[in-house]
Amino acid sequence: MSEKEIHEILKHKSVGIAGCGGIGSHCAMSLARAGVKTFFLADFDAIQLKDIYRQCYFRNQVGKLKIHALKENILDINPSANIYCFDIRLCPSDVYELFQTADVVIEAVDDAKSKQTIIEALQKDAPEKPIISGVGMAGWGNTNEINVHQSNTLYMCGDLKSHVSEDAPLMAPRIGIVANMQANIALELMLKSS
Amino acid sequence: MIVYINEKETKLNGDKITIQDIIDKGAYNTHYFVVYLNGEYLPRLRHRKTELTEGDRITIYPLVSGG
Repeated sequence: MSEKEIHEILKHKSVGIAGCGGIGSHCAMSLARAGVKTFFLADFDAIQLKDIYRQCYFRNQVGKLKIHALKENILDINPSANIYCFDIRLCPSDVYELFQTADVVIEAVDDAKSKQTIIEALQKDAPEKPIISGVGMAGWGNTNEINVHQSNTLYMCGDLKSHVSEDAPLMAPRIGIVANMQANIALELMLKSS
Repeated sequence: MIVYINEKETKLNGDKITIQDIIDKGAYNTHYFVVYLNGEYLPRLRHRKTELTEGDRITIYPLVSGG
């Protein structure tokens, strides 16, 4: 498949991103660069200076809502992208409604309980919709432990065990690896289903 | 009874063993999980009610913070 054909397919695909922190921002940028044109972004948080060290934002964006800053960054790559922003803390009933028209959903929220909520909502209400989740990316090193696990339409990227702690903070390299694995799976699924 | 937990053959002693029993014995570093039983998603409200039977295949994904 040529690059032109790939862009032509991805122009008509859409991705939902639940959480626009480290995982969500890096994943969205990769997908935008690959040619995905439509994004549904959900997050409630604003950018703080400490986020710059591991999330795909810049100093001049501190204080902005992440959804708005990410929209700016995607538009810098593709000015004709369609980006729908939702300033919301996701609850189960929102998940399906927000992402029902997305071809794939990237789960990129920070806390484990919210991950469970999002995965459960989609598996119950839209079991056919692929959900690509990031689980276990704190710390550094141990690159070979980062993997992809699949059950039905759920894809889990990460080492499934490295949670955030004082001794193992979130750091850009492992976040980037997991985010790009998620983006790569999303691309694979969207190109396969074309 | 033999079941398969994350692809690993496991012998369980006793009866009326639930998914939640398996999770509790797993010594995971989280309270949040996604579970599939024989390839089907199992909602968390059914973890305590669902009893295992011979040959069941259980996939347990622990969910840890970070994103």
